Amino acid sequence: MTVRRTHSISVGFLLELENLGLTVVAGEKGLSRPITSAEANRPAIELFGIFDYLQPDRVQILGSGETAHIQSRSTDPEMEANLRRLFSSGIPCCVVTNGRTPPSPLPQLAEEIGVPLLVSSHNTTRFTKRLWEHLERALAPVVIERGVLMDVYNIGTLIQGDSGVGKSECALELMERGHTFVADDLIEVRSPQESRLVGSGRGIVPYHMEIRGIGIIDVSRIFGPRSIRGEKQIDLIVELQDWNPDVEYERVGIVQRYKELLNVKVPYLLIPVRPGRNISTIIEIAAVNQKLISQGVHMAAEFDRKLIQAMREQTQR
Amino acid sequence: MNETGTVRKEVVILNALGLHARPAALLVQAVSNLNCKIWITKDDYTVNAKSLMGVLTLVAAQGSALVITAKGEDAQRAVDRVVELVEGKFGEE
Repeated sequence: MTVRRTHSISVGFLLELENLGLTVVAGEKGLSRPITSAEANRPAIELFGIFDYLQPDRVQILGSGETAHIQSRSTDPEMEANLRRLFSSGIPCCVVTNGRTPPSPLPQLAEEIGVPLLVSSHNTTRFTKRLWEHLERALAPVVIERGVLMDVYNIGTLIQGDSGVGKSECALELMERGHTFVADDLIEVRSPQESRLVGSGRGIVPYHMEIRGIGIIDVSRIFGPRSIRGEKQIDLIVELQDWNPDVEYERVGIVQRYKELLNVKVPYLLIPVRPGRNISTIIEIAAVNQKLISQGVHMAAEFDRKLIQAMREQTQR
Repeated sequence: MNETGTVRKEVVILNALGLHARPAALLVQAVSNLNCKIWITKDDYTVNAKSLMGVLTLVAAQGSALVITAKGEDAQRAVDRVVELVEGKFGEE
């Protein structure tokens, strides 16, 4: 397991993201500048010369108000000095929204200092939201986990365990029953917003898996396009283990166990494997149970409550 | 232990909540890997002490008298473990 963080992406990468609607106006030589923060800044006080609070690692967004203000002061030397200071502070790039033409002296400064000046066709709110979504995703911490990631009744289930324990076979059977395959073997796990985990495959050729004795199969061909999806939030981790008499497996299920990945706790089950135990059925039940728990229904705890109630009534009789 | 290798002991449930899910699981886990057969009897109802759902059907509240019967190589050890858990109130109140 290796934790990896994509420390930065380049400004040029933003141009490849079609839904940002970006074009370069000036400062093209700065397209390799790195972006390290998912946050953006709308410089307003900076236009008035206050730089005490500027975080220069952030993408700078100029909306209609800022753009109009710059335009009205385009020959003001103080405005030029403030913009020069902004562009020289180390910012990755500056984006003008609403498809507006960047007023002077923005293009000249961008070109001279080598900081990309971009225009987005979208309004500021939409652009900011989309930019944040892309950056949050691209800059989120990543860990590589071994296992099979399946979507079982919309519960993202990461099946783990030693090699040969039957993870892939179990995944095949789940697909036979109509559940959805995300990835096999190496799973790239990210924690966007560091509050949930999202898993996806790593390979350049997705949706393939190895079945011992047959070889590599293309899941999307065998089970069809409905059987696959690119990524899935991980809601449950199931570890399969060859039945070990010295291990105490969960019997009641009132106490929820967790596994922590990237500082996010995910419900975790250790399931013993033994000939004759249908693991895919057990995983389906585990997923439904998890779904019920997320809806506030806890079957084991409810059972225990009823039992204690029955004992109370018995002693009162 | 008599000549047939059977161990028998009577215990009374002491913890306030009785033999609910958590204590029952502790009891079942304490004996399930031992080499013996073991039963719990309440009144005239007998269950296998290695079966969680069986033990739970006893509905043994605080004050219930249970007879533990075990047979086999580890019978004494199994009964001792059950007695220890019951007398220790399963770590509850």
